[in-house]
Amino acid sequence: MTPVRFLLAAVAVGFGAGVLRADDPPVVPPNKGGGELDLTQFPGQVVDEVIVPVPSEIFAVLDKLGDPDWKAQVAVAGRPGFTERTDVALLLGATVADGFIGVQAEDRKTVENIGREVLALATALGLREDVLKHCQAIDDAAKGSKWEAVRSELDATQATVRAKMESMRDGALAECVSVGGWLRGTEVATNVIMKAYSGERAEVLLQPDLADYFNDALEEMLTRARNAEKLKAIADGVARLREIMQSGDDTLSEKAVREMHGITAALVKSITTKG
Amino acid sequence: MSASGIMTMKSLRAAAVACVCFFLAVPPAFAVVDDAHSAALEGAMEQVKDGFKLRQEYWKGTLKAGEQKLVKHQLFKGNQVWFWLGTSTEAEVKLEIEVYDAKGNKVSAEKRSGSDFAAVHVDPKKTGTYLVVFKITGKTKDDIDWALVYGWK
Repeated sequence: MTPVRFLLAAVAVGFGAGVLRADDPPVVPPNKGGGELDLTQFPGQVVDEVIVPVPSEIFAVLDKLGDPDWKAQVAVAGRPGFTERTDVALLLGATVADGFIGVQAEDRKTVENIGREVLALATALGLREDVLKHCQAIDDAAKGSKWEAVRSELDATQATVRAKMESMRDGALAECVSVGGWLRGTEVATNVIMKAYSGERAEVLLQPDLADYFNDALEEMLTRARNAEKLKAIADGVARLREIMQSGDDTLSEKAVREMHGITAALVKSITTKG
Repeated sequence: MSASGIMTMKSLRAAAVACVCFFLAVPPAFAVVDDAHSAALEGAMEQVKDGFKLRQEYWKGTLKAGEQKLVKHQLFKGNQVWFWLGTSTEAEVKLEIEVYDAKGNKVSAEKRSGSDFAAVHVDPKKTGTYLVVFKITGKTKDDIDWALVYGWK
């Protein structure tokens, strides 16, 4: 449990409020945080356990990492045809992330292909009509090299898919989309950072609460998943990523970044290929 | 009623059904006109002109006067962020919003407010989890609607 999660769990125990379970037991005396806000005494409700950033936010930071060779990060392998919805949702998330990488590389052909692949995957999930306008907009913007517009439409595609799934009471599947995108994004970010490592560049990878959130979501899915083995491997990998993120003192070492890259590359391979 | 009148009624009903179908076909976050959301967006206009990108998804609910809410958010060093809190209540209220780091230290850099919105600007010095805390105070006993949006650049 990360420090923030622990603090909020203590709040939930104390006030019976929030989305965290009241039966999360405090393991050590609560840390008051040392700041102006005493989280152990927070008399309010936790609205959202953690807001998952949209890919554009992360790529906006990556934009500031100098000018890496994004073309080298573009995925070239074809994508498998899955029938299991969890597999399709994970692949959809990874594919949207590839769209962002295509934008970074300003690779028009790749982005156009991604638009078509996103539509095919959304169709497999029964969401064709919901994402069709986004895919058309991605295609149009890519043809005009309007890269900011492509980013916005990729964000909107993911948001639409997630919202639709949640409206169909399939929030777990929505989390699969986020997990797939987050893993592919982290795989690429670690690779880019390794090429010219510095502690400052590696800071973008410090996302332990997100890893924790995704790990919880995956563990919950495991109880009713058909492909439990694959999801278990992803959950274990995400748990290890969280450990690595918390291993340093606000800094990730080069070795840590390399290990994160190895883990995410293996997990993305399991998401994007039939094993 | 004349034939044209019947047609008009039918047309109106068809239009109403079409509207309902349209609203049902889009995700919930975009499905209804949300006045609290509109208030937050109006509050955001100045920063949007200044290059901040708004996230389409937003968070909403109701609270009682004085009640606090908290949202956890992953922020990245290098991305400036504005959070806008809006309400559509007609009661006389004051909106307050602050951002803290994971240790509980206030990190809010700049604030703006109007009669129906309050906003806070953050320029995170570190990548990590931040806590957005807000409340609406006033004498009303009614539920007060709220919506929270954010944007970055």
